Amino acid sequence: MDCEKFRKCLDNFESLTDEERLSMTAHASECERCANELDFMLSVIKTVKSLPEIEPPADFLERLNVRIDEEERKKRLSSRIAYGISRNWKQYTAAAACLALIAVLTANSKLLTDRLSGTDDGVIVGDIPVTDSAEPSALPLAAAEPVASDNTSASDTVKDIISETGAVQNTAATSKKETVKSEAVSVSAPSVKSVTETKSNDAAVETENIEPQGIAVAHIEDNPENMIVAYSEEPDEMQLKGRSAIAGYTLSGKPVMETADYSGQGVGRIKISPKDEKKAMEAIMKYSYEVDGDYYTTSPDNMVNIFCDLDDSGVSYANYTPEDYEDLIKFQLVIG
Amino acid sequence: MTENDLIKRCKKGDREAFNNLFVNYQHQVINIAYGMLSDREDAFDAAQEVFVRVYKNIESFKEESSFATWIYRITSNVCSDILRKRQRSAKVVSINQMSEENKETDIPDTAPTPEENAFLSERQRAVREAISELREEYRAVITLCDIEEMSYDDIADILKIPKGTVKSRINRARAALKKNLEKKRELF
Repeated sequence: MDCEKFRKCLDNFESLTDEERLSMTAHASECERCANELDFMLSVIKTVKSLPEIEPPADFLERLNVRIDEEERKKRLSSRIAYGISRNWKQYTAAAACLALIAVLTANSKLLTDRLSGTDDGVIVGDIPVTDSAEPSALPLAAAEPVASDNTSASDTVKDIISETGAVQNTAATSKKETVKSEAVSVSAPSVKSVTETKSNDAAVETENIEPQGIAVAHIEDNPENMIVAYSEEPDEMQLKGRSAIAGYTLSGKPVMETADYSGQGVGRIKISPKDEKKAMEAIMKYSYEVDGDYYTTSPDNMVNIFCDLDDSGVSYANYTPEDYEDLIKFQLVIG
Repeated sequence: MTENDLIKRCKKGDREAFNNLFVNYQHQVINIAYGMLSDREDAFDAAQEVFVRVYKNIESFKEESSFATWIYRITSNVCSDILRKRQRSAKVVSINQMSEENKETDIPDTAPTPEENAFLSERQRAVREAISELREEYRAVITLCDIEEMSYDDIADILKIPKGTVKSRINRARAALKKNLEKKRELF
């Protein structure tokens, strides 16, 4: 055994065979530097094992029972409230409706009193007078708000609301064009990068990996006003709308769906954000035995090494490791 | 009365049975929490939270499983939650302070208090402090393996990781611990 092998064995100390431990001991007897490293390691482990335990305070059980009593009381109270509501829901609904009406009336009290006393300017907004004629009224709509500036245009306008804090809101862009390609270009969030397509009358233009403090900008072709589109980063909105959620994409660009229950599928998953792709690939390629398209295969130990390398390089990730593997783990890298 | 009998009674709301179960597990729960959190008061609070959760969720416990594994898993989860909350608080503080040296990926320092240190040797103090600087995954395996001396099978069940992963994670945790102790190497 040489010093390099010795150091590797030291890093895998818990996993060594008896033979490897003997080889280490033999090398340590000849190499002072390696012997010091081994002594240091053994001394640290021994000290950890020697750490004294602590005892609970005398009133620990008493405090616990007080807390449990409080939990029971809250549970009984919420049960009573739920029961009361279920019995008297009609009364509660009527009371809520009355309160809502009072709130609306209070908010609009000035407008109402002006109308009743005739001191408003008489403008009727958006009101269509009722006539007996089959033809629509000839009276113009005075001071009416424009409903849509380009109703007759082929595409609806895309609106955006960008708050001062940088929070973004979801909007949907609709277009009657066959396909519209949009490219998101980050303004203040350099990590945003995606290319999306929209189809006619069904635009779910999404940008991925929107930093909360940044603004994702989609420049849509044939959008004459070149409006800025900003999107929420919340992927759960897809689920709320009842559509299947895409967890992300593999390196080859295939979408990977969210799956509530992975058990029985035998394939693991590491999910990262696009900005970490390079670091993640370094870790995966370092420890994988086999690469087959979008799938990687490695041992359980090396799976942990991948996670540790990701941790060490500051990569945030979500992972699923199947429990039904035999010797090796097969997994995908999902970017989303 | 066997443990299963106590559990059955707990499920029916028998507080005395619950208190008997508590007595069997309080020591280890508190010390697992202390190992992970490095702070006595936090460990006591965490242990209280663990037993409240046990009481509230005992009906969902399947008697054919190991009660010890179940309760220690809850302990690990409660401690992980506390560590993550600490980390989030530290990030808010560092953003507010706009300080470069506070840009961190580690959990904030919760080194042992002077009172806690009073009964420790200098070497033990250094190790406690070094453990408090580890990531939560590493703290968990160091605590369960080296401090509580649990088997790899038990650790795998508690942390819900494959058995093969346990050894690797211990290796990485010890390497990280050694790195944290480099500056005090002369003590060892």
